[in-house]
Formats: sequence, structure tokens, C-alpha cells
Amino acid sequence: MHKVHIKPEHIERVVRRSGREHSIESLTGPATALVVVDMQLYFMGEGQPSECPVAREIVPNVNRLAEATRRAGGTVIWIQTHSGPASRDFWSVYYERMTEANGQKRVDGMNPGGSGFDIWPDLEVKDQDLIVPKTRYSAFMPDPSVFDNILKERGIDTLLITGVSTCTCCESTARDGMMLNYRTMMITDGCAAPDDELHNATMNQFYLQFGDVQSTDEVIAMLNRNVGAAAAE
Amino acid sequence: MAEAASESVLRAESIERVTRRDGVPHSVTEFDPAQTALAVIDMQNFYMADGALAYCAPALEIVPTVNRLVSEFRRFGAKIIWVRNVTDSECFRSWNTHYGRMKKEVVDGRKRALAKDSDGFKLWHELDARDGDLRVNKTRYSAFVEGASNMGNLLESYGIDTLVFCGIVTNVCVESTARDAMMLNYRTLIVEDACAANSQSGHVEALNVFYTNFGDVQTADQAIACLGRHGAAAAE
Repeated sequence: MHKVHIKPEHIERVVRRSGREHSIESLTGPATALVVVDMQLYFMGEGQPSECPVAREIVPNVNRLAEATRRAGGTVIWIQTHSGPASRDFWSVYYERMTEANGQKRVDGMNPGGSGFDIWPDLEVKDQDLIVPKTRYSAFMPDPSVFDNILKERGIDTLLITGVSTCTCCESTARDGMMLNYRTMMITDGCAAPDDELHNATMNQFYLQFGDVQSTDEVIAMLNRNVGAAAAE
Repeated sequence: MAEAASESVLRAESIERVTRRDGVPHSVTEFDPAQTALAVIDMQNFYMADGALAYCAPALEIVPTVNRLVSEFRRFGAKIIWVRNVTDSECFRSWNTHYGRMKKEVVDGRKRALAKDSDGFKLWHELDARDGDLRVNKTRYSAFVEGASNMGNLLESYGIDTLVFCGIVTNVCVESTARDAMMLNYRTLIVEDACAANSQSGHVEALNVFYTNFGDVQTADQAIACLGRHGAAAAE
């Protein structure tokens, strides 16, 4: 698991600007989506081309968050990257950079049915959850209205971002979500990066300029408060 | 201000990783100026004038490098796009989760100092902006977020497929716009020594992440050399 460190000077700056340390202090279950980005074999399995070993360590947290989100009436969304042969055309600049062999590895592995495509087997995907395909790093790209409409139809205004990798697909999705006016939080121990330095760079930057960052336990406590209040009514 | 020679902030391990994947450290070796735009992000008084609300001191140091890039890209026939942040009543409504995180006095400051008729909105006076250049106003960090600007349409109308970025702040507006550009299939490059951020570590991390996962990162000297290379092989 990453050793998370949010710089004290960033906390000071946020408090100075916002009057509080966390912009998200409560969660309304039905308006909340847990977005789990790219927890697929390609990024998680041993020996896979884009293996990120820490991604295996965050699985229990993601499962706990998913369970708490469902219990609070929220939506769990599994984002699954599709990078089959057609992506060579519509995202040509991506493949232009890399060697032909490395591009082919991705096309083969991330095509439906490919050896890296499936969601990691230890993740508990339930029938009521959504599985949403994406073709770029950010789930909102290239046409933001597609994912935006899925969220809006369900009355979702708050995104909890988890998955792999922190600085690429998680951060791009979180940045776009925030700029599209979603209350957006990255879960500090629910995302995985190649190393602690990269992970912390994203968490610090996101906290300072984009949205909130909190831990799995903090988020589950907020979701549970909600359930408690609903039960008491 | 004299222009200092700059060393790359790309780490050896980033370069190794990219070279392993791509076969070369820099996949962009030339631009066709007719299809290239240099986008200069947010170099406005709001971030650069003494005592400005969002003052970013390092932005002043990159002005000579930005001007040199602008002049070279213009000379080769590439488009220059001055991208500016602006606030209007609509953005305070449509982006209220962002402004809702700030204290009222901070929001009021932004309302005044980044409005279209304010001094803060204007480009920094030392920049070599010309009448023939293009200008884009945006209401989000990224110019490509839906409704944030007319950037996409403008690029399409000029047949631009390659975007070279510089300006401020490296890890906020430059990075957000450049990430989105790459995902929209523009060939994307950030000129590292023509970008600035308040935090040096934020600047360095953003450039390394962009370089390893999104697009190319080069120095001004390298990017200018890419302009000169276009068509050179064909002419031989």
C-alpha cells in the first residue's frame, strides 16, 4: 500500500482558501458514485504488460467502499478500458509514440476477450452495479456527454475515484469530472500507482487545485452516517 | 531578462521507460508548421502582475523563452494561440462545485479580477502577442472541457493536428489542457522550460507523468529544432 503524505502546507493553503480542510464533509448516498477505474488484469496481473503491483493491495478497500456505497443507495461503476484494433485509428497519436510490438501487445491484451481485458477476479462486481466502457485514459473522453449522461440520469453529483493508475486514468477522470462540475474526491488508499512518489504527487495536486482526497475509512464513515440517518427517519 | 540555458527536468528512469516502450526517448522529431499550433496558456496579469491574486513568480522567468518560441513558430508559419482564463456569471453557476469550495471573498476576487474587462484578464505586457495571432478564452482549467472554450472548433477550422503547449501553471491548466488534447488525438508536446508553476516539485512531477504517459516533453531548443527539420529530408 502506498505511504500517503499530504503536505501540511497544502492543507494550510486549502484551509486559508476554503475555510475548511475537506470540501466534502458529507455524502448523500443516492447522489454518490464510486468510480473504479481500470482494475483489469492488464494493469494488475503478474507479468502483464502494465502491471502495477500495488493495485492488488487496494482490492480489499475497493470492495469495502463498493459495499458501503451500495448500502447507502449509491451506484458502483466499474470502468473498463477497451483498446481493441479500432483504437489504433481513433487514438492514433497514442500508438504513434510506441514501438509496433508494444502497440500490438496493448491491442491484443485490452480487446474484449484479450488476456488483460477482464476485471480482476477478487473484485466483487454485483448485478446492480454498472460496467462502463472507456477508450481513453479519462472516462469522460472523447465525448464527455456519454459518461455525463449516465451519471445525470441517476442524479449523481459526487464522484469517488478509485483504481489504477493514480496519475494517469484515475487523475484524468477525476480532473475532467471536477471540471464538469461533479464534487470529486480521490480515495488516497483506493488508488494505485507505480510508486509512492507518483501517487503522492497526484494526491497533493488534486487536493490543492481540483477537489478532495480522503481515505477509505473516512469515506465509509461518511456513507454510514447517511445510512444511519435514513434508518432513524 | 536574459534567457538561462535550461536542463531537462525529465528523470533518467522516465527516459528509460519511454525508450523501452517507444524505441526512442522523443517520438516527436518534426512538426509540419501548417498543421501545428503553439498554445500559450494563461500568461495573464492575474497570475503575473505584482500583488496579483494568483501570483506565480516563476512565470516571469519564462517570458523570454516563451517569446522566443512564439517568434520561431510564427516565422515557420505555425499558428500562435493565446489562451486566457476568464470568469463570467455563467461559469460561477455551471462550475459551482469549484467555486463552492472557496470562501466568498476568494470567489468575489476572482469575479472581479478575471472578468473580461479587468486588468487581470489581459496578457502580460512583455509577451510578443501580434494581431494575426489567435485568441481563445476558457472558463475551466482545460480549454477542451465541454463548453469551456471554442478551442476544438478553432483547431478543426485550421486543420491543426499537432499542439505544442507552454505557459502557466504547469500542473494545472497546462497539464489539464494537454492531457485532454492528447486524448482527443492531437499530437501533443509540452515545452518544459517555457512552463512555470509555484511549486517546483509540482512542475517536475507533472512533466514526468505527462512524458511517460501522455505525450512528448522537450526543451524550447529541441522543439524549435523540430520545426526546422520539417521538409528537410524531402528537400535533400
